[in-house]
Amino acid sequence: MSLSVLLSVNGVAREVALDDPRVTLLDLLRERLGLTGTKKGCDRGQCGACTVLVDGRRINSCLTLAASCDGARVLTIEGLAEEGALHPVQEAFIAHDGFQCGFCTPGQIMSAVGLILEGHAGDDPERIREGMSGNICRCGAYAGITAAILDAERRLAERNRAEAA
Amino acid sequence: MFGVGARVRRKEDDRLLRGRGRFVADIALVGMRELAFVRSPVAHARILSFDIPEQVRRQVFTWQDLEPAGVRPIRAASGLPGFKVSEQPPLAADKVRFAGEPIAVTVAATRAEAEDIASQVIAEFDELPPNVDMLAAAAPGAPCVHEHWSDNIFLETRVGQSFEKDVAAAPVRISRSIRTQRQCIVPLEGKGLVAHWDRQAEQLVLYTATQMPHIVRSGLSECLGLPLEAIRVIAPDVGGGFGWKGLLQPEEVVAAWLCLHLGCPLRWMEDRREHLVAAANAREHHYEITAYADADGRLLGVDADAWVDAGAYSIYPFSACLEAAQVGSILPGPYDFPHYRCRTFSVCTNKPPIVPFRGVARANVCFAMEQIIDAIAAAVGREAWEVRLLNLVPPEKMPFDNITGKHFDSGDYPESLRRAVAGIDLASVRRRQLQGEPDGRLVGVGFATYCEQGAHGTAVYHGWGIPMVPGYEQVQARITADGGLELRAGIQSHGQGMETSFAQVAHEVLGIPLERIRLVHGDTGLTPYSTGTWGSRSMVMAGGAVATACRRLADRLRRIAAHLLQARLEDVTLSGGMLQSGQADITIAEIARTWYLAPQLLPADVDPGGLEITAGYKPKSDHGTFSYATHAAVVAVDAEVGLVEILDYLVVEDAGTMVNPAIVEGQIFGGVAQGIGTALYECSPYDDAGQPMASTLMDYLLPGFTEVPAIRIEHMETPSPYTEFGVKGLGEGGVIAPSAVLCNAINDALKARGAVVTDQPVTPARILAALRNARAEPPP
Amino acid sequence: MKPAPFAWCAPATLDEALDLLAGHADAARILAGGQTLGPLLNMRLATPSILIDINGIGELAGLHPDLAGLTIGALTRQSTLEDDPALAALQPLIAMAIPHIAHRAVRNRGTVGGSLAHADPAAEWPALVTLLGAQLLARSKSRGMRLIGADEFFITHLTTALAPDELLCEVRVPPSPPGAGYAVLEFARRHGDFAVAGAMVRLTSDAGGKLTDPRLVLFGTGRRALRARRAEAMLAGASAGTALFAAAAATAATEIDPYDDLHASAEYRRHLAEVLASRALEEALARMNGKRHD
Repeated sequence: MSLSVLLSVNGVAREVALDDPRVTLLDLLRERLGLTGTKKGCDRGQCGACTVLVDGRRINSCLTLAASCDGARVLTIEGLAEEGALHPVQEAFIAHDGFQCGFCTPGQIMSAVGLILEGHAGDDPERIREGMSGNICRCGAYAGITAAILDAERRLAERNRAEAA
Repeated sequence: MFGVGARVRRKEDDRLLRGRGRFVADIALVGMRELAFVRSPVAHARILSFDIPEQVRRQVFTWQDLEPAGVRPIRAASGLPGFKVSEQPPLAADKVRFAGEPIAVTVAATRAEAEDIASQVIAEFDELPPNVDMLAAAAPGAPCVHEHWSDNIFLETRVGQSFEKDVAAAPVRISRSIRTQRQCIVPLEGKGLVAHWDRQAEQLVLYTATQMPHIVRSGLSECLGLPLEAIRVIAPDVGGGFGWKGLLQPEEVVAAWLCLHLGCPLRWMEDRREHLVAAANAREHHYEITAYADADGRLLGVDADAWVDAGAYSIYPFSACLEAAQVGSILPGPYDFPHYRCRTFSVCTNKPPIVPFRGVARANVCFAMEQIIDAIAAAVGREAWEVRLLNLVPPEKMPFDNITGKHFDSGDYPESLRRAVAGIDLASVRRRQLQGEPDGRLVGVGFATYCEQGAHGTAVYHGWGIPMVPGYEQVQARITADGGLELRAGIQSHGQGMETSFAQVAHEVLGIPLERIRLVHGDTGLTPYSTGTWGSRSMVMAGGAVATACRRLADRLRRIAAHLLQARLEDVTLSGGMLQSGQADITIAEIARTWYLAPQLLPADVDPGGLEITAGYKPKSDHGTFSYATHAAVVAVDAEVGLVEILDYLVVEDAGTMVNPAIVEGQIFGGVAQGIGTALYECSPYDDAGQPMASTLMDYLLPGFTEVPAIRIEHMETPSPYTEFGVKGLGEGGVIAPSAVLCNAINDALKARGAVVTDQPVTPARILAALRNARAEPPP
Repeated sequence: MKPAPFAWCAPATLDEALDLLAGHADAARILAGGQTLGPLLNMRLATPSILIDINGIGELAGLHPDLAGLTIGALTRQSTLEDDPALAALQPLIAMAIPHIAHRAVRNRGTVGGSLAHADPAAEWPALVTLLGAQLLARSKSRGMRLIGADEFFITHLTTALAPDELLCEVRVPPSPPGAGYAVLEFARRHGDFAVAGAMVRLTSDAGGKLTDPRLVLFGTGRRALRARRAEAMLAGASAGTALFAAAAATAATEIDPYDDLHASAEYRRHLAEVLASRALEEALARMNGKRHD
C-alpha cells in the first residue's frame, strides 16, 4: 500500500510517498525530510519535545500520523527564524537562560509560539506555566522559559504596534 | 569581562535554539539499519529456549550468536575486599535477572519493522522466585540472584567502631527508619547510538549519547576484544545525562558487535518505555539510624545501617557499590561530632542495575541526616536551624578533616545557614503559623545544609576500588596560524555549557576573544583520554587543565615575543591577546603566523613544541572540592487531601569561584527541579513479581512547569585553596537538598497534628497516612 | 515503540466511513485526534488491522447551539470549545472542564467524540455528559441512527454501548438551566494529569432557596463516571448548607466503587471523593449565589 501526502513545511511544498502508514508526522519530518530539529522525547505525547505548529496550532507530532496531515501547513523550529535573525521567542530564551542541554528546546519554543498565538495566557505567569505544562524540561529551566515567554510576548506586542503604526 | 566570573552568553545557544544541534538520533548514514531489543518479560528465570520464526531468523541475534564470536560479559569489579563480581552478558545467557533485561536483538530497515520481528521472538522461561525487596533479598535464605554466590550482598562495608558506652548517658537518643524509593533518571534524550565500520580508518566508529566516550571505548575494547586503536567513540550533542549516560550500556556492546558482524551502519534509540522499565535505577535506600545528642542538641554520635538496592548487575565502570560505599563515608554530612559507626550493604536484587544519578548517594544521605537533625531539635525543643548551627563545621576550623577523613577545603557553612534563615524570613513564617491560613492549609518551613564532594581525585577513587581511577586530566591547546585557539578535552559537555566556560578560562589566561576559541570534546579520536563528565569534576579538572595548558602557551608566546621584540623575557607581558614590552607590542596572531609560516624569524632556542601543547592537571589535593549550601523552603500542606504547594524556595550556596554565574545558576535551578521530583513525585515501584509498574510518563511523574516554583539563589564565593581560580565542582549540588528540605518543611507543617513523614517521595497518600497514624497514636 | 502494522484509510464522507466500519467492524479502529489511540498503538496495546481516519469528514466537527441545547460534533477538537467565547454562557460546566483536559497541544488534536468513545473513567467528557444528561448520537449501516443516553452509554472501564460498526457522531447537551452554579474539581498530582479523583456539581434552586435537581458526579473513582444519586436525593429540596453538603459528600463516597492503581489506593480515592464532593458543592453554591466569578 502506498500513500502520498502533500504538505507545506516551513512554507515549502513537500510531497512524500509513504510505503508504510505507521509513519508519524515526527518521523516524516526527521527521517524523510531531514528536519531533525524537532525532537523525539517519548513518542507518546507525554513530554512535548516534538511540538510543532500545524495550521497554526501546536501539536505533538509524535501522536499525529503523517497520512492524517495531507494538505496541512507545518511550521517547525527550522522555519521559525530567518537566516541570521532569531525569532523573538528564541532571543528571549537566550536572555533568560531558558535551556541547558537544548534537547527539549525546539519543542519548548514551538509550544511557546503556539501559546502566544492562542492569546489566552496574557502576562500572567501562572497561566503561562499552565499553558506550557505539556512540555517537560529535565534540565529544569522552567523559570527561565516562563520569563522568556513573558518577555517575548512584550516584544511581539511592541513589534505589532510598531507595524500597525 | 569575558573571563572567569563573567556572565557571558553561551556559545552553544545559537545552534540549539535553531534546532541545529546534532544529537545522535539526528545522524543518518547511508545503508543504516535499525535495531530493536527483545527484553525479558520476567524478573528472574532460566531461559529454556527461544522460538524464532525461520523467515526472520537471520535478523535475530541472541547470546548464542555473540558468545561463540568471542564477546565477553560486562564485568565491573570493585577492588574493595569482599566484593562479589557479577558478570552481565550484554544479551542474557542462560538466565534473566531483571524484567527488561535484553535477551535478543533484531535488525531491520526501520524501527517499526525491527519491532515487528521482535514481537515474533518468543522465549520460554523457567521462572524463579524474584528478589524484589532489598531487605528480604539481604536476609539469609533468600534465593540467590547469582547462583554461585553465597548470598545477595555485592559488598558490605563498615566504617567506625561501636560506641554505645561512650554515649550511654546521652540525654537525647533518636532512632529512625527511613526509606527512599527507586528512581529513574529520564534525560529528555534517551540513550542512543549509531555504529559503523570506517573502512578507511579501519575503525569501529560509535556515535553514542554518552558522558564518557573514552570509558565506553575502554569497555567496548574489553567486551569485544578489539584493541583500543580500532575503536573510536564520539559523543555528539547530548540531551542531558545526569548519570544515565555515564556508563557502558549492554546495548552499546551488542550494537558494536553486530555492526562488525553485519558490516552495515546500525542505529538504536532507547525509547521511553525501555528507559522507564529497563533503567529504573537509582536512589533506593533503607536506613536504620540512631543518633545521640546532648540536651542542647549537640550531636554526640551517629550509628547507622544502610541498605542500597543495587539491582542485578555491577555496572561498568562504577560498580554496584557506587552508592552504598559512599553512604558510609558521607553520612556525617557537614557536621562535626565525635562518634560514628556505619555499616552498608549493596544488595543484589532482580531489578535493573543501579547507575549514578546526579547527587549519587548524597541526596539520600542528606534526606536521612537532615531528618535526624530536625528530630533532635524537636526533642530538645529548639529551632532546627539552631541545632544545625551548633553542629556545623565552623569556618575557623577550615580546612577540616571530618570523622571519616573527608578533607573539607574551605567555606563558612554556618553563614550559609544564617543567610537562609534570614532570607526565608523564619520569623514571619512562625507568625503565619500562629495565625493560621484562611484556606485551612498547614504551613511549614524547612532547612537542609549539605556539603558536596566533587572532582574527587585519584586517591579517593583508588580507595573506593572502582575499575577506572581518574588521574591527571589532560587538555590539548593549539593556537592556530591566524591567532585562534583550539582546545581539545576528553570530557563531554551535555548541557553544562563547557564550550563557553572553558573558553572563558582560556580567555582569562591568553586574552584571545571568546569567538576565536573553540572546544572540541566528546571524541576519542580527537581528544586526550579522560574519564569523562561525571562527579562534578569537569570544570575543576578539565578547566584546570585548560588554564595549565594556556599558561604554558603564554610562556612560549612570551619567549618568542621577547625575541621578535628584542626585549628581555621578564619585560614581556601578555594582556588582552597582546604581548608588550615597553612601547613595542605584537599580537598573538602575529606570533602564530611567525611560528607556522615564517619560522626563519624564530629564536634558535625556540621550544620545538611550538604553539600546541597537551597539559595535565590535578588539584593540589586529591580530596576534591567541597561546595556547600543551605536550602530553605516554605510549604503549604492541604491536610485533607495531602497536596503540597511550595510557597518559597531559597538556595544559599557556595561553589567557590564561579566561572560563569549564569551557568552556575542554571545548574542549581535544574538540580532543585530534579530534587523536587525526588522529594514529591518520582518513584518507580515494582510489584511482588518484580515487574516495574511505571512504564510511561503518566506513571513516572516528572516535575513540570506547574510543579517547580521560582527558586531564589544567593551566592557566596569562597575559593577552594586547591584548584585553579578557586573553582569547586557544583553540577550535582542542587539536587542534594530538596528532598530533605521539603520533607522537613512538611513535617514542620504537620507537627501541630503530631504527624511525621519519613519516606521519599513524600506523596499525598503518605502525608494522609502519617496524619492518620498520629490520630491513632497521639504523641505522649 | 512503534505500532504494529495496520492499513489506513481516510473516508471523505460519513457514509463512506460507515461503509468501512460495516466492512471491518472488530478489526477497525476509528482514528480522530489520536491523542489516546496514538499511545495505545505505539505501545502495541491496540493492534487494529485498519485505521479509519475520520479527520477529513468536516460534517462531524462543529458546535450548533439551538433551542434544544448545544449539539457538538464528535470530531470537534477540545481547543475549538476552549477558544469559543460563547461557550461559557451556553454551557458553563463544559467551559470550566476543558482546561483540565491534558495539555493544550493534546487539546488541539483531541476530540470530544474520541474522549467519549474511549470511556476512560477518569476523563472529563464522560463525567460532563453524565452530569448534563446529554444524549449521544451514533450511526451505523446496520441500525441507522440511534440516540443513547449518557447513563446507558458507558458500560464500564473503556467500554461503551457502541456496537463495533457504530460511529459516535454527535453529542446533544440540553440547555443550561437558568441560575445554575457549577463546579469542577480534580485531584491530580500534576497539572494536566488524569484525575486521581474528580467531582462535578450543578446546583439550582427555587424561589424559596430549596435546591432543585442537584447533580453530583464523581469520576476517576470507579469503572465509570457516576452520578451520586443518593447524595443528590439528600440535596434535592433541601436548603444548601455546610452540614448538608458534608453529609451528602459522605454519602456520595459510599456510592462509588473505587479501584487501586499506581497513583492511589481505593481507600484514598474514596477519601478524595468525599473531600472533592464537599468542596465542589460549596464552590457551586458560591457560583449559584453569584459570590464567585472565576
